[in-house]
Amino acid sequence: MTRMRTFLGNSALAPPVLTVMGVFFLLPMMMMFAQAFLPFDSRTLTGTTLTLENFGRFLGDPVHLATFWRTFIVSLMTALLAMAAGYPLAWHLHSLRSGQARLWCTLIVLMPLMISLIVASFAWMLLLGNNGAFNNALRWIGVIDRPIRLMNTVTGVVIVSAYSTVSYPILTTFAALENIPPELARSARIHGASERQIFARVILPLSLPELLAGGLITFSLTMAAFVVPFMIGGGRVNVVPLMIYQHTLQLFDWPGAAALGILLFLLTLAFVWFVTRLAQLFMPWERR
Amino acid sequence: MTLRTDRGTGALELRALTKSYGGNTVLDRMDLTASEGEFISLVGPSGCGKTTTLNIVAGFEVPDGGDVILGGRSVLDVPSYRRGLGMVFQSHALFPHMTIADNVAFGLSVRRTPKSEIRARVAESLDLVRLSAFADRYPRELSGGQQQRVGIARALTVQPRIILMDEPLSSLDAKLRREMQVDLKRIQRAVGITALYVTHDQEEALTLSDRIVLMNKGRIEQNDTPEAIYNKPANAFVAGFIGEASFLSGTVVQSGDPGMVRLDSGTLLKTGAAQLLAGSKACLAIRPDRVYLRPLGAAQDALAGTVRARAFLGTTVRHIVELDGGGEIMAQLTVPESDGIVEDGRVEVMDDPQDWRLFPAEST
Amino acid sequence: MPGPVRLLAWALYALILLPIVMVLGASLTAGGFLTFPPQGLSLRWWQAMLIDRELLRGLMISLRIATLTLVISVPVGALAAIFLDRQNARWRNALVPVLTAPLSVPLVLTGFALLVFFTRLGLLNETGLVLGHVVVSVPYVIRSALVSLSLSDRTLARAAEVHGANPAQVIWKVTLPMMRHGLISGGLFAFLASLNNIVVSVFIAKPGVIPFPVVLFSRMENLAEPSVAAASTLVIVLTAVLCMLLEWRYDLFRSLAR
Ligand SMILES: Nc1ncnc2c1ncn2[C@@H]1O[C@H](COP(=O)(O)OP(=O)(O)O)[C@@H](O)[C@H]1O
Ligand SMILES: [Mg+2]
Repeated sequence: MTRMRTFLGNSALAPPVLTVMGVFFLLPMMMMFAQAFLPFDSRTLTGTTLTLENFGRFLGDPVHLATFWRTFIVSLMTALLAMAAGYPLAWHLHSLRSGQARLWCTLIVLMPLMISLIVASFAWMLLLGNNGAFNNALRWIGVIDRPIRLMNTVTGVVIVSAYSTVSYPILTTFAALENIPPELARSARIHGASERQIFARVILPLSLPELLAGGLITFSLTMAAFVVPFMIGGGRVNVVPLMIYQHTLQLFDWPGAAALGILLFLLTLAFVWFVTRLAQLFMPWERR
Repeated sequence: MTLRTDRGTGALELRALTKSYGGNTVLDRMDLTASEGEFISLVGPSGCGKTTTLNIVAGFEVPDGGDVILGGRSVLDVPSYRRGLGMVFQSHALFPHMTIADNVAFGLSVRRTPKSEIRARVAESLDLVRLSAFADRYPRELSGGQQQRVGIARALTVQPRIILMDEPLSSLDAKLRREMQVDLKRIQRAVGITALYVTHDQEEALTLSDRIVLMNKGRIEQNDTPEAIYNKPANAFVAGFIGEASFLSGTVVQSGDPGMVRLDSGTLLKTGAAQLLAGSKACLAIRPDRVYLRPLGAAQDALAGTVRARAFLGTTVRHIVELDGGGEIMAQLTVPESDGIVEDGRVEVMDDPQDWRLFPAEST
Repeated sequence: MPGPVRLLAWALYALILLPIVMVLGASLTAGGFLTFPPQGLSLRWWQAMLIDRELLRGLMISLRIATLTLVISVPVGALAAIFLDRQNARWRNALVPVLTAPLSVPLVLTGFALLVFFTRLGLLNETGLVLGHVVVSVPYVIRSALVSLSLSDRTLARAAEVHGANPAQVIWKVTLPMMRHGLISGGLFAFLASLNNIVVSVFIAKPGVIPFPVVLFSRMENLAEPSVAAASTLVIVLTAVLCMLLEWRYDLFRSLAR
């Protein structure tokens, strides 16, 4: 009877989400996955026999491999930059005592998540251009006489990608800092640690895993992002998501796009797995 | 035992310590001295200022007035990390990312002590708390009691002048707590260190302390040995807080030793020394283990009542007696003594006047 | 906190706000194209925006889709979170990643997969857009609802049941109110994820049903006029007002900042 009641109570809960995820996510993903193993023909678009040729097309070509490498490097740099900028912000947010100040700073920190990516990129175009606000300011101060090229470069793409994802490392690190019991700092202090030592030996090691987790979110998101490379890279910074976009909507090469997508996903997963394992190696207390 | 070296003595003196939070006085001119090697417990109801006192000694809080003198010298201007203290926390506060050995070594390693010396002293500390086998484990792999022993070892390894403990055992279950009390006492004796111990558990304080400081609302009610505080409470608050007591109110008829009190119910009682003026209102505190009952006989002026409840406690039986004319009294009798006394039965309360203490009425 | 760190933090806050300020400023330029600082002040590009049919239509479509997405994904996500919360830890740990998978699969793949699927179904229209947005929004709701459930007292639901509430009443009277905060913040993120969505939309959108971000995206390929900045400003202001309303009414961010 209890079991029956539990079942009835639960049976109304799961079907909606199972429908949404099953029909509109899993099924499309499977169909896309299948595409990768169908031959591409520029006239009939897709054939019916099974083939691995789509993967070979990209893995065998140095230009495409270079694009994979570039995508990886851009994502890695973006993650590092977002972590470097995120930690001080998380630390500052954590050290604020007044509720009002915390509220405003949290709002600012959530800003990149809440405003449209396209609006943000578009603002950054105004900032980074050769005649943009950034270069104009530097020229006005007299630091440079020729503009630093940021638009249409990897550097520019990394900066804007980091901007659009910096909230993740901030939020994860902030949560970690808030969760460190205050007694730990007190205990370190009374047993002789200076403020600097408390930070280096207690606070930093205990918040690093979450900073890293936030960094990995940034990494994964950047691996899959094409809006920023498109707008800031201006066709000069080709990355895999952009190739997927082009193969799908411009070349109608769906099998190719599917193969690229699978490779991209696997590469992302492999790197995240690798970093997580590596981190566990250096942080044995995190091991379960 | 080399764990204790003489880096200044472990004597502590608090002079007129005062602290308030936004107009709410938490410590009110508190004085306290502890000599080297003494185990002192701060006891009192929740919110009476025990933790605040400890935090001021630790340097986590700055007092509004008064002074903290350690080894003969004021330390108010010395930052926490230079005061040379050890502390054990209620939540253990072990560093989750360090092994047990690294936790214990923490105080030494931040002082840049040579590695070989650290190793030796950590080994010694772990030995003292009998956790040598766990040196390479992480805190979460240990039980609560073991974690707390690591906390104690960590505090002792820095060879502190004083070890501060804020309810270190209250997160443990009752049985473990009793075992740890024995351990704690053994270790403190072995090292010969001054200990300032906060607890709200009066039984724990009685077991562990050389001296108990009973606090209430930021003031010290009594500062004495466990025996004295239990047997000769200074006032009704102390009597009620340390050990159990029933309270009866009445009027002093005769002061001096012995004194006489007329209870509100009309009964006239002989008491211990009464330093109160005849005619003043008074409050009588009676320990349950100093009360005897017997079935009501023919006596005329007996303190009589009806047994309202009986509870078997193993070796003793507890009775709650409602006195004729008002008031209630608890009596704890051995099993043979309680023979013949039944629920709802009429009983006579027998007294041993020396043990019934008299306090001014308003102090309850 | 050391002074240099605080200084750095303030500089970074300023850097986060800078692009937003720039968009606002750029929309007020009197010049012919986008620059910052603006060349003179005027409202001409706001006027231009108000007669830009494509832009306005995009805004309307985006708002409509985001609202529908919100209305669908909050109940679906809430029920899913309750379902997950009631499983034992093993099942829950196994199921959560499955039901929030769209958060971990690259969005570009989700968009592409939906294109493949909807092409077959003939759903490359507004319905398809809503369905696609629901798929990427539901995980946000599930996540934040699970957080507020894990923070609340599980025995309350049992207490309600023992005192005679049927399963539906338990959910309606006890569980949902307990997860209110999670649903509001999850709902906000679901709404914004849809309103700002471009990666999924760009695959599904067809002429006639082009959401606002896709309109902007397509115009970036050519040169953008300042009316784009004006429309962007409008979206930013809308987002800010929404956040302020939620904060004022439900202490939303205060609870996040804790
Ligand atoms: N930081 C603080 N701000 C305001 N009030 C405090 C603070 N710390 C303690 N108090 C108040 O001081 C009183 C004594 O607290 P404490 O010393 O912690 O008592 P306890 O004896 O239970 O350890 C309590 O009423 C507490 O509310
Ligand atoms: Mg306390």
